[in-house]
Amino acid sequence: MSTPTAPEEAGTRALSCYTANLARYLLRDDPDALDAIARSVRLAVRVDLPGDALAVSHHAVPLHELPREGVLEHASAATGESALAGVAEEFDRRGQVVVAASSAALPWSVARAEDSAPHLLLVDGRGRGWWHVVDDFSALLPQGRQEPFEGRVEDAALLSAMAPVPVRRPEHRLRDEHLFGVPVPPPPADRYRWFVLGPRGHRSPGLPGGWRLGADAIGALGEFWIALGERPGRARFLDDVWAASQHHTFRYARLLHTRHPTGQDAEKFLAACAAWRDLPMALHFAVRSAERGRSRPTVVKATFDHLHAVETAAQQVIGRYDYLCAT
Amino acid sequence: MTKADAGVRDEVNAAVKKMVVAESRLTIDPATVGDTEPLNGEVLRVTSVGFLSMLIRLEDELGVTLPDDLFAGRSFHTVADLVDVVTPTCTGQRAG
Repeated sequence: MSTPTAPEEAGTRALSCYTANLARYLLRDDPDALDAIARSVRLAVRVDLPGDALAVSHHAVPLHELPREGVLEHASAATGESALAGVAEEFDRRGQVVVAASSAALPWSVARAEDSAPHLLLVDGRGRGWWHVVDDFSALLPQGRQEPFEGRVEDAALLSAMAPVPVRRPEHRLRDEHLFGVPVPPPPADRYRWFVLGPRGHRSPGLPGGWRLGADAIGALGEFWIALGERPGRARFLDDVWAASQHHTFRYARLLHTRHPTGQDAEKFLAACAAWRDLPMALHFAVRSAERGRSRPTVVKATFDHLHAVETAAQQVIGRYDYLCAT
Repeated sequence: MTKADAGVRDEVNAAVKKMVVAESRLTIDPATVGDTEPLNGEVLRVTSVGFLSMLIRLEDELGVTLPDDLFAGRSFHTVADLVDVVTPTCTGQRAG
């Protein structure tokens, strides 16, 4: 259902589970972090990967390269004890730490074990045997409404949330690898993981070859989903499209509420925002239709054709507002 | 609109209202729901997840195929918006 964007949809809670808590981390030292994220939202996809996989990059400016402080790097440990020590060390250095978790392992999560996915949490306080944790992720999920969380958890609960998964699914590995917007290979799945802020180093060279960008990416993504009837396993990438939808909706909501465009510009942004918002529902409809033996590639095509048209129109004017023009 | 088409629209209208009331977990008479009632407002509480389920059920229960451009720039704010998109699929017209 298409509805106008609301101001509250332009904050951290409008972002994906990774980016929401990364944004909270960045916001402490950079009040412009939300606008910086919004300005650099992009769609880049790879649809030529082995295993009929889909990789998505959402951020043109890598989120781990902080403007002044340095570069976020993966850290990991084989045991829970070492992980807590490592998280504590980073906390004592920086006053906050981003840790990797699994959604279904969070006490406040509505996710079921079979739906568990990689997640990030912000640790911004600690005491003897406890940690203050922030999870700004908020969404209406098929399992129910996921509410944000902010509060204390004990050592055991933090370790349980961070516990390595026995097998990391390929789609989760791809998501982990591209969470910052450029490929940063994560540590092995059998380790506890968190991030440390390292010194400023070389800037990322960006995406390697094989990636499709902007309007071309929308076309490639459309072709990927049009073939859903013959390739039902592609449904495992629905969450990646959902994240793209969240990020683009966030971008337009942020633009509309901070730059106050009017007239035709505003109409173009609202149309693009609505198209991105409706995209996950269209694909869920296509998936459920295919599951019922009523494959609907023409619905997918019409949806992506519309998205392509309104996104192209929005891109033609978005540069006037200092937002990335991705076409 | 022919008399037959009007009859079909009434049937769709009744089916949609019955569904939105159930989806909102209400016990009110569906006939008391106005055509302009917001799908997610003071009375009805149809979430995006529930809306998707309703579309699937409408296809199954009414034996129709919703239009290809279902998610291509349409807005579904009220009961009538949903009736408008389903009715032509029952009468052979193209949804506008």
